[in-house]
Amino acid sequence: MPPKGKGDKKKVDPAKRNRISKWYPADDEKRHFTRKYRTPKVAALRKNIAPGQVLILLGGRFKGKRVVFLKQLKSGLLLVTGPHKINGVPLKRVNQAYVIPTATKVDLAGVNVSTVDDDYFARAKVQKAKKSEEAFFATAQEKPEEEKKRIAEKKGKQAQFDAPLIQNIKKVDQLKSYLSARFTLTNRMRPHELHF
Amino acid sequence: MVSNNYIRVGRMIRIIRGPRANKVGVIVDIIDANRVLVENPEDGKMWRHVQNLKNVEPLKFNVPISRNATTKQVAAALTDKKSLEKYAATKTAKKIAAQDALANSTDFERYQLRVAKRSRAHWARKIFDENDSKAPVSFHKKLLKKLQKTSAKVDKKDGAKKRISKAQARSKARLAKKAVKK
Repeated sequence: MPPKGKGDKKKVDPAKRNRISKWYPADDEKRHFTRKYRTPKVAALRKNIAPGQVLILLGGRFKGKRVVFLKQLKSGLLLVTGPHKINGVPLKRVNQAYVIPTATKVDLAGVNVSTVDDDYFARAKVQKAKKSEEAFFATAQEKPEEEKKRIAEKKGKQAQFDAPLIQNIKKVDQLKSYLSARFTLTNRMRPHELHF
Repeated sequence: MVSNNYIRVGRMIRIIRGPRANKVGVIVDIIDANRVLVENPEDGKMWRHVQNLKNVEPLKFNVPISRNATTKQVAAALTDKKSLEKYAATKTAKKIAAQDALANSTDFERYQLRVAKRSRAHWARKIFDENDSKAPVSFHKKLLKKLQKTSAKVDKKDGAKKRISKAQARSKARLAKKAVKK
């Protein structure tokens, strides 16, 4: 091998010089996960769910209850109602992943829920008490006046929304008692083979 | 028990297993000892095809067609004789139809079925109890009647009357003691 001469220096093109840096940091930098989009997409309404349909709730306090689907809200959640007088379920938001749609449909003529949207369900902000001994031993915080008003209003409106719906339900034989019954799995029932 | 529904051209058959289970067709030709050519022009999935005789249940209906009749001829013969309607009126056909209906029923239909069964049982029991109170039909009431008859004869005798009055006095005393304790 010929000896390296001090004079052997490559000509470096100034434009290309800073492309690959000679130096890199000694420690790995933390890379934070960034979403490709700012807000998650609103879930599209499932094909077999339509307004007026009876849905079976699968989770939460009202699991197994059969409710009437009214409309999809802007947040993507489904607006459903028992109706409240029939099975105790009020106007409620439900994620369509936690729902089984049945083939039964209720007539929605005369039912107007256009004024209801996600802000109908917004709660008044509860101020957290300072962390003190008194607060720790205090009984459950009383709801502020705003909240109480809002809840009372809601109860009043519930009857208003449900009235035409209940009339429509009464026209169909046995539909009212069907909605007041809960769905359960019994022996020999195979949910993957059932038609809902 | 051998059935006399012989395999022949024109015999109506029901398919036992597989994707065409419970479908009905007509034997158009006999291929060999194990296989037949089957067709039902009125069923979309029963075009002319081969079935193994092990998968075939011969019905008691026949259709007058010649061997290898065309699809049109088979269709004409079926409508003339109305064999498919006759088959649909049989018990087994109705049973199969009921099974299918249950399997394809919606949640609401199943609920209605449950309510119907429950109310039928309720009313049957009610009417039975009404009739039972008039004239004993149920086992326990019949037994009770028998017992009462036999005991009526025995209780008339003096010795029995004494025993009964003693026992009654005893139970009275016991009850009185209980009342005092309280």
